[in-house]
Amino acid sequence: MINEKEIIEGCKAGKEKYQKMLYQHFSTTLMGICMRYAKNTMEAEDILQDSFIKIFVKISSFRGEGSLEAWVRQIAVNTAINAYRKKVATGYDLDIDELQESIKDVKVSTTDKTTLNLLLNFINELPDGYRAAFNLYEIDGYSHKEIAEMLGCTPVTVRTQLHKAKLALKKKIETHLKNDLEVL
Amino acid sequence: MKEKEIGELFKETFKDFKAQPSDELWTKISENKNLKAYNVRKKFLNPKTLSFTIGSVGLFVAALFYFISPETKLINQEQLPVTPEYLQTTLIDKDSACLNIQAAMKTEENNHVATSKTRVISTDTKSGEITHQNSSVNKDIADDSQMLPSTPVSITMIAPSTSQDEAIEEFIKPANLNKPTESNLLPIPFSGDPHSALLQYSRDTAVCKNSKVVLFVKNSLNVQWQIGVQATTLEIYPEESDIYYVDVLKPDGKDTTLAIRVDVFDCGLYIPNAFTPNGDGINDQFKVEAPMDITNFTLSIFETSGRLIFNTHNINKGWDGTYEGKKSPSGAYLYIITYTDRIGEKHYEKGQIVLYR
Repeated sequence: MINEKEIIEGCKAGKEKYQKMLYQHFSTTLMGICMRYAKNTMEAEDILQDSFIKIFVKISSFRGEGSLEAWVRQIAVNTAINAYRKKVATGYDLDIDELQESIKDVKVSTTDKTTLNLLLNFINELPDGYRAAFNLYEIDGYSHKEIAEMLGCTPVTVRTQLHKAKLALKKKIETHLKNDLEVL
Repeated sequence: MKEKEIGELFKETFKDFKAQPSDELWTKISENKNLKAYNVRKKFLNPKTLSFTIGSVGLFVAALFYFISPETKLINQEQLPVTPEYLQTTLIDKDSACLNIQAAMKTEENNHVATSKTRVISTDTKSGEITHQNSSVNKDIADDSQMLPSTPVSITMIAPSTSQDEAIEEFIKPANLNKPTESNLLPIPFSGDPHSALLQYSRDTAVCKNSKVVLFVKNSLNVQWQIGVQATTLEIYPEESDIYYVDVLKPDGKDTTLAIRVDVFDCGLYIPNAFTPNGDGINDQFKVEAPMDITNFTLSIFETSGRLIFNTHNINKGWDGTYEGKKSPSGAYLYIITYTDRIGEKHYEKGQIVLYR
């Protein structure tokens, strides 16, 4: 059993041994979050890396008021949103082909049969804006207003994006079910 | 499936979702130079390490000083050998500064307070009394000064106060600078610089029907096209003229809506599907008409057998229904037309025409 307090103290003192322990303790949880917010695994790992560096550097400001897990989760989400905003601002997200690809019917590889992988695929294929809004609202439970502040848009835009994200997901799911039936 | 159910489905599925990052990731993180620099700094400023190092140095210098005769102590400053005196002052400074750093770390007070504390202590020690002259001294300082009279009391008598203060301030610097440098290490949060660039976006434009148009908005913090796309560019294949509205966040942080007008023209060629080369002056030629400027025009006409019977690059020239001076019989013929339109797009069209005599 890991002594959380000891790890926090070790990390606050900048000791690599404890940083590694913290990493091992939370890496899978945070990777799960990053996978949802990113387009692909590579992007997810970039976000995860940034998150951990932020966690280690900022841990001296962690007062132990909430749980450590909630705190690190929050940092991962914030890092993911920052990455998204940077992407929008630098116009990196120009890949229209990709966007159209995502609107098109989804082709699911037969090897990824589990529901979770399938749904994760669907999320990853959403346009970045939809994905961010959907994750924040539906899975991480932020309010429309909070999301609007995080994404730098209006609550109305958030609602629109959510709605569209859900429509897109619904379509993907339905198409998938139909294809499955055809296969059978 | 309803929208609400979709939300619930995903929420349920991803509530405790975990994924395994690749093995190299930890190496990448631990070798990150910002993190390394941070760790080194933290280790150096660790109160325990710091006080231990300084404490041992202090003991050593105190022992050294013990062997210097009492007479030397009372001799005028200038006559003292330079090095030991410098060591003495720094010794005291470091000791008191160290305590102050600890105090500062405990209470997380700013530079100003820390410096004023050291001043209070130095006055105390200089006069050789452990009293609190400053009424605003807080409990931390009281503790500190009570801890002082272990070794250095006698030494402080001859230490020049100015150099003492300087030394303290110099030594305290890293501890107090700790905060700003720490924040320098953090990934810079995204913020749009309002003066960096002006908002730019596509002009109103005119295009051929169904051809590709890419509308863009540059230097905006958030771009939301009202047709439901969030991206800095919007690729469309318009069928009719329309105005595209886009909500943007300007570099100065204000929301605004832009309107970009896209006029659509029918750029296609007019290709008749039949003609009557009977010499009545009506529809005697098979002739293509273009509503716009086109270039690289080629019209080729084939018999159904595949033989080429007419070829031209001049759009104003039509086929009169003859081949090598002989009138071609009624029936179906094939044509192939290639051309480049005004916006540089190449077109290839083929079809069938009917000749009636």
